[in-house]
Amino acid sequence: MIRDVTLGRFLEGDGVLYKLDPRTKLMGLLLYIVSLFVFKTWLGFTLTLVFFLVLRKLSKISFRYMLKGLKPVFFIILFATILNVILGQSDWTKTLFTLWRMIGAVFASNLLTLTTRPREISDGLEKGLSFLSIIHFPVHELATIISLAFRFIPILTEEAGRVIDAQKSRGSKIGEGKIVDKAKSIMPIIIPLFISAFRRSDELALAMDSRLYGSGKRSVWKKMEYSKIDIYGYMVSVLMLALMIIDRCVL
Amino acid sequence: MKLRVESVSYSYRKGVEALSDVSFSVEQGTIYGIMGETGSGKSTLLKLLNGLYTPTKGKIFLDDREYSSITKSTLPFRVGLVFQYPESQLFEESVILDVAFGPKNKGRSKEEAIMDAEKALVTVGLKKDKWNKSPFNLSGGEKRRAALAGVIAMNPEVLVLDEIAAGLDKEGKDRIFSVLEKLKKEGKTIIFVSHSPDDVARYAERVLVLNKGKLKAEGEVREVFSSPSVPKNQSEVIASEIREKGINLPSPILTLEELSDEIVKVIDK
Repeated sequence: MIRDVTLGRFLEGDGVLYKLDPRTKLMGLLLYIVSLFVFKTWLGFTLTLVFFLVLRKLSKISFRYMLKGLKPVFFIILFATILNVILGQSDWTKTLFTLWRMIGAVFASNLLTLTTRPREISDGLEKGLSFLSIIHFPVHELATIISLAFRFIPILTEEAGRVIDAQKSRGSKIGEGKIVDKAKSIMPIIIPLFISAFRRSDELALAMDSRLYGSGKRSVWKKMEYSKIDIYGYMVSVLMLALMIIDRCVL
Repeated sequence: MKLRVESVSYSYRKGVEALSDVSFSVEQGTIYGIMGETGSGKSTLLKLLNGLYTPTKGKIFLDDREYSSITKSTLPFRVGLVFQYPESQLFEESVILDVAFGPKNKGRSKEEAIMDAEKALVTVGLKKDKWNKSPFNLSGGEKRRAALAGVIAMNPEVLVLDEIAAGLDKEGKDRIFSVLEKLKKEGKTIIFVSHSPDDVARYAERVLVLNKGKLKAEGEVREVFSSPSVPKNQSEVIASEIREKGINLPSPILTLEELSDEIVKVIDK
């Protein structure tokens, strides 16, 4: 399961979503997630679902690959849904809506990372949030941290795979037995993984320092420019949110 | 103990074979060296021997019993695998507890597991004052030996090791291989993978050479290194340069010590 993590992975492709400016995609994702949590009726549910299906089609990423991305968060979603039912949510439509809100948010985030390179995401964030630098907010540092975090996801999943294999070779029964045993069996994976992550980040920080990171003003490798398609992107995202607000307040 | 690999192939993806039609058998109490370039299928072969992977084609037998008929969870205790950079698997609060992790998983009681761990730590030559220390406070070479002890403590009949000497200096390497020599004398079978012809020529008794997933050569170390198609070790490279100058030296030369002995013999003549 650990090797199935698709979040943070970029998939080479030529769909329309690849052509959008990363700022448009970031803002679109934000507005879509807000829309997901705003809608209230079946109409809103259907619209957000159809909107996602259209986006998926535009990205040309297979539905099977998208479902694969859901695997690692499957238990979290299941747990939240069960909790929702236990805590007096007797209305099954509301449970279904909550379920879709979580799945939709994961799907949409996956669509962003699958169609946008980590560098583009961090550049997009930096440019999009550049107005915050007026109040001396470290926008560039934040963008770098986010971009590095994305890069670490596939590295750490691979490392986790290696550690799991190594502990299995010592007879560790990972993910077997009762819940307590399952939780205990995670420790031999988590501890080496944490240590390796700290070691890697330490080394990375030193490597960046040795190449004089942060010693001067940085320029951008690729200049970002909006095109016509981005205007449509913004329009559709804003329209979506507006419709969901109407769905919540009027219908 | 007898290990037999019969026409084994393994594919990570459909249509791409990482290992193709490999057959050989392993005798008890012998040190085997597997060598080959990066991507030749060495590590894949080790994971197949340990039962982590199941062959896509072919069969592996341990004492004439096919792997599929042996309970998967018991296989790592009979064929122990030491991974590349095994120090990255250490996690317990003390060295001794980490080494006892395998025996405990094997079903030994806590006391028995500690006893197994102590024995293994003595075998790898890790001093007693380090046993109760955190494994993260050990030096690189010590961590490697502690991780090796973690697998030895499970008392496997066969020990397979992936690039166990990678990144160690000569002293560190000699220490690790003297441990393996000791285990061999106890009747264990050792199979180690290395990309370095020097290490294989120095420490192995029999050699398997993999190339692009296929078994290219197999045999006694001297016989394999005599073949012109097998990558040369450093001592043999120097020896062949000396031969070119008209000085007669036997071939192949496996170690630097052997080379100096042969040179002394020539001078004495």
